[in-house]
Amino acid sequence: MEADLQLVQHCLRGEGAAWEELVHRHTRRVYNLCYRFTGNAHESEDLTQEVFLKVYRTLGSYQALHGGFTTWLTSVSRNLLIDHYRRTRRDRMTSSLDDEDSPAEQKASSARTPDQLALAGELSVQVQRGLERLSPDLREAVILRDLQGLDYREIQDVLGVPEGTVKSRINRGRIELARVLEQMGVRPA
Amino acid sequence: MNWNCEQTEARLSEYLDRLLPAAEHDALDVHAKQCARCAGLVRTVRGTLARVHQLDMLEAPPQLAYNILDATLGRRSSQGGAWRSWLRPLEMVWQPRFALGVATVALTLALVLPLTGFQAGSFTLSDLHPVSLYRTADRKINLAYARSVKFINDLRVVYEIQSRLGGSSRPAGPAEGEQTPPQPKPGDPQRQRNRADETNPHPIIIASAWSGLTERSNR
Repeated sequence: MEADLQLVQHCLRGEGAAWEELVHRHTRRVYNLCYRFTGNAHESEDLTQEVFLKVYRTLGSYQALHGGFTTWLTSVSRNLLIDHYRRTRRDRMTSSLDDEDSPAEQKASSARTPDQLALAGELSVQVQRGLERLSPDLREAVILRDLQGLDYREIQDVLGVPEGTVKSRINRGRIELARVLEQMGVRPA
Repeated sequence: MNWNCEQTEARLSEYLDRLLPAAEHDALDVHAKQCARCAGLVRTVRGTLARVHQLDMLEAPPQLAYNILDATLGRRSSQGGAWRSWLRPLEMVWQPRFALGVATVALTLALVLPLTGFQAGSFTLSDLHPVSLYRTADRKINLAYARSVKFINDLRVVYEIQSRLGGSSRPAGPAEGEQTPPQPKPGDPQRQRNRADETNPHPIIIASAWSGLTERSNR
């Protein structure tokens, strides 16, 4: 499989197939990031499309020296998500966040029995609700670390904050999420 | 090394991610063994993270990547783009869940069809004609009826043999509260009835036959 950096170089030379490969490779990751942040399947779809439109326009500004393509892509996604969060803050205050059990929860990886799928779907909904009760700073730190699997250094690059702040946000976010889920009756594993 | 509850709370994630220096890691371990509150916190957060890490990545909607490509590269008329756009509606069909559904239906049909007498080898298009379907259904129903009639008759015979064999130990007449079916006399027009007409399952006969059988088996 060709590395992301090579694909980016091919894209910059105008090869559509390379861009196609990049999109197929990263759509799921970006969609997940958007979904875990917004909790809304339709918004996540629109935001994912917006992210790739922005990446397509600004691909020339990507510099491999400053980190991997995934980190850069996550950084672009995160900035758009924060913009979106600020833009829609007023809407969220007037409408309930939990009036939608999104069908996206049912679409997790499906090589399981129906029982396992149902349990995984339920857990996914509960974790999503728990995440929505965290402040955006803590939420994004937990999502990047525990759902996107980024390491502390990559999160530091994405968020553009000092290492100590990253550690503190991840720590507070995890403790807060554990307390929220405990209040919701989710038993720790 | 001294360790306190505030340090546990502040450094918990680094501890769980194994990013603490060995001395601090051990100090937190020792402290948690003596402090129920910190032990509980460690256990709860570790358990929650285990739950969160169990979550799979959600599937992105199948058409999303194509929408992005359409929005960035424009609607593609290249060969690859053309056949992909034709195959796009099939993306839903390629999901494992759909394959599981198809397998379940196939298994159900494989179990049910042989019971209905369906044979794929001898199946022709004319079998789907309404008259043919009606005849097949009629034949099956009659066959099922005849089998049940035969079963009841056999049961009656067993009961009669049973009652004659046990005649020495039991009074010849019907027991109290027991009824026997009316026996047609010779020459009675009823005797000329069709065999199938005799086969009304008499619940009392069946019940008494059953009790006779169980009595015998208990002995």
